Amino acid sequence: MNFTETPFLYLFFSVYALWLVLRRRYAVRILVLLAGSLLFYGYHRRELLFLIAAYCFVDWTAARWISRSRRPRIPLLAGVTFNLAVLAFWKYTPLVLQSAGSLARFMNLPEPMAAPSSWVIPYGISFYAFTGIAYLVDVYRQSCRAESSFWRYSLYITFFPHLVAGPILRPREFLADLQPGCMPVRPHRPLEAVLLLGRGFFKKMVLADRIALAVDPFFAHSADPSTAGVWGLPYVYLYAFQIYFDFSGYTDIARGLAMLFGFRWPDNFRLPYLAGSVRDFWRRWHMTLSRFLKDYLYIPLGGNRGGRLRAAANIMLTMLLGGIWHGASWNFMLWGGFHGVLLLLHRGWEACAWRFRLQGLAGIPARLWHGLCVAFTFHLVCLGWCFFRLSNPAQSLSCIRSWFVFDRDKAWVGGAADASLWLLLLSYGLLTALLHYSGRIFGWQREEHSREPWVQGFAWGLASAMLLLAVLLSPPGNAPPFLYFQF
Amino acid sequence: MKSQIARCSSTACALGRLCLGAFLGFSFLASLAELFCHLFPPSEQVEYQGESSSRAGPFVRDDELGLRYRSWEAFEEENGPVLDSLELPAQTPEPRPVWAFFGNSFVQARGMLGDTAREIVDRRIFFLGRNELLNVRVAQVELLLQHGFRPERIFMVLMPLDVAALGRQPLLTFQITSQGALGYRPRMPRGPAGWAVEHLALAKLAWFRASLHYGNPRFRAQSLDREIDASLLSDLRRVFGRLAAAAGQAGVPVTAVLIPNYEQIMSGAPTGFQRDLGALLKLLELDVFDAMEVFEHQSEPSRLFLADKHFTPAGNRLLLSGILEHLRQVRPGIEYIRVSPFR
Repeated sequence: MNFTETPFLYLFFSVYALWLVLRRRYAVRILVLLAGSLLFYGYHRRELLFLIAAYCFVDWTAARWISRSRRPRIPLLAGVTFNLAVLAFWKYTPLVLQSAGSLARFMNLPEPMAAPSSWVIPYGISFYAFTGIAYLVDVYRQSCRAESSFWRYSLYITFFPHLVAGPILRPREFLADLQPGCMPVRPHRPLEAVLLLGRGFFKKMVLADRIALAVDPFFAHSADPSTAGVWGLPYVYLYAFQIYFDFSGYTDIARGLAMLFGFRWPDNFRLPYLAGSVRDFWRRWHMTLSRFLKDYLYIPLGGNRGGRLRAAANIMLTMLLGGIWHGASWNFMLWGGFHGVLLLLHRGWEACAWRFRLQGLAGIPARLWHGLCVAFTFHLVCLGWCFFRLSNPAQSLSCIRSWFVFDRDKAWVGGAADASLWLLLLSYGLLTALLHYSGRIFGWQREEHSREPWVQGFAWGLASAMLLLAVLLSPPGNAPPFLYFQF
Repeated sequence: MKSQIARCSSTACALGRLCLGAFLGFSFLASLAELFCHLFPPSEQVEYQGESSSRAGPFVRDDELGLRYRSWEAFEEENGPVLDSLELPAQTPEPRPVWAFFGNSFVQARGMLGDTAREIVDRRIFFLGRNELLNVRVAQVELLLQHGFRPERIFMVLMPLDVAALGRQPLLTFQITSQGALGYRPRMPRGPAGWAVEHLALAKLAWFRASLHYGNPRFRAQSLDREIDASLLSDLRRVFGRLAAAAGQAGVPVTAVLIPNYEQIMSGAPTGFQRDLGALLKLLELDVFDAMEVFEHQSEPSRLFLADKHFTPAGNRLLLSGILEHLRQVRPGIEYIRVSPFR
């Protein structure tokens, strides 16, 4: 099930109504939310429930063993290995078999069997595998206690707002809130929750889905003669916005839903395309994943310690694994490796004397320099998206080549020529900026109880309008799924 | 008491300001969206814009069929390269008779029935290569026959989805603009709601999104598996009556091929569509072949379908073999096959 399907509406309202009625009874609350989450996950494929149940049981048992064992490394390794092995099996078997087949053909050896064409990766597996690993490592490091209740732990993993596409939560960010006496009994900032929901659904159903309709034909035929001469840069810009609106829209919806149940979760995005460097980009894009990779991979590998060469190797390995986590294709690894190289180059730039001179600029020159950095970073990120979006390097390179082809007759054709789409994006950007700056004047950012009634009412009106417009302005027909559901 | 009244009035005041703020917030965004929809009308409303649409087409209004082609030249402009192969209306040096197929993508798309017939059957196979509404197909047949086209047989290939469009938009709702474009008259609400839908882009969008603009908004395509309702049957009688009349006048036999859909073959969904339409077509004295008899006893029906529920080459060959076997019973003693369908 996903958030934009009609059955989700029925499920959410039923679960929420039950929660409102029964929220003073702790055990019942846990069971209602757990049942609703399992129904959400198993709606289309019931067999997935066995998989997630296995994850919950193994991680819960391993954590309890870690907390009691004199050699906690053994259960830690066992638990992490289970998480990664099952993830690798489901996600990477077709890629491994395909690559082995190509190698066998190249070497004139008998080909191994191919993965069945009906192989489907269980959705959300990358996210809940990482959530489980984070929990096991935190228990090992004693930064959180092993959870005694299997049902509480299962709810921590399976709670439907974050189950399929994050945010990747630390135990202190959510498991702690599920403890008796800590579990919320009322919504947390309901106005902000509904604003997040409105914004999330609008970003996904109107902006991301409209962009998808415009750009998918180009990317489907990027290496074909049919797109020869078509200027690819506008399509890549649009895809950059599509993936941002799709994923950040999902996160907004997840956080808004969680707030309705009283939970406060971290944000996943902080205006990533305003980053002035690739390092800054990774501090603003999918922040919970960046945090996970830093705390559970980069730092345990040694981080910055061990010299420049070692640090560089750690960065590259982290980014390569981060890339391949996104999808079972060598292109994702190329994308991760590309960002790894950019991070290393940025490190070199940081030590450069010119950088300090430019950092010392003030006034208009400083703003111009910052603007250049933002534009340059954005284009580097877009270069990476060419690998992320397309399934093989040849198509990606063909897409990048199309950036530099400018045939006047074919420059603005197809979806990129849709003026309504660009107007919608521009309007959304201006409106967001206007509301952000007016919030400082009118007090959107203040606590709800301290706002003027008409300001509160205005915000409620905006939130309601966004929810309604998300439905009315979305493209007709079946909505494409959230992009990050495939991971 | 006074303090109670003061408290109530300040609460009422706060509530009033809250509601005013909500109205302002909602109106602010809604008016921006209204402006956007006026500037860029949604694509699903294009066919309902009537004379304000800038689209052009080759049609004129026909009271019985809903539309017909304005002229042979208009039809030729739409389908020129395909018609050239027929060299109408003169006799061609090519001795083989022509079979003409009309149908949806199960006929027209690459690798489907049309291409399969070209490979196997010892006839010249003609199809226009484009999917059209049912009444447009009949208008095409009429025009071709009027222009001297005399195929050995016309095959009208039909599936439940072919009549679904008429189910949603009955013939009464068809509207042809002065530019010849095909459109529809939208169903509109009455009273103040009608005014709102007429004048407010967002209200119109909501009306369209709720699918209430269709001539028959209660129609559900899935119901065709069970039966064809009376009003749709009445429209189909008019459409196929015209086909029967035109073909009868020209002396060209027509075979209606009723293809079952994926759900009917794989999930055992009812075949009410075939039953009701088959009965209607027989009443109009058209030859009918129900292809369900070919598919229902297949041991591995999943091999007959692609991922998009079109037939695989095996499925197309099976369908064609069923058609040929039916024709052998209708007109025994005539051989049609150039290559065996089962290889």
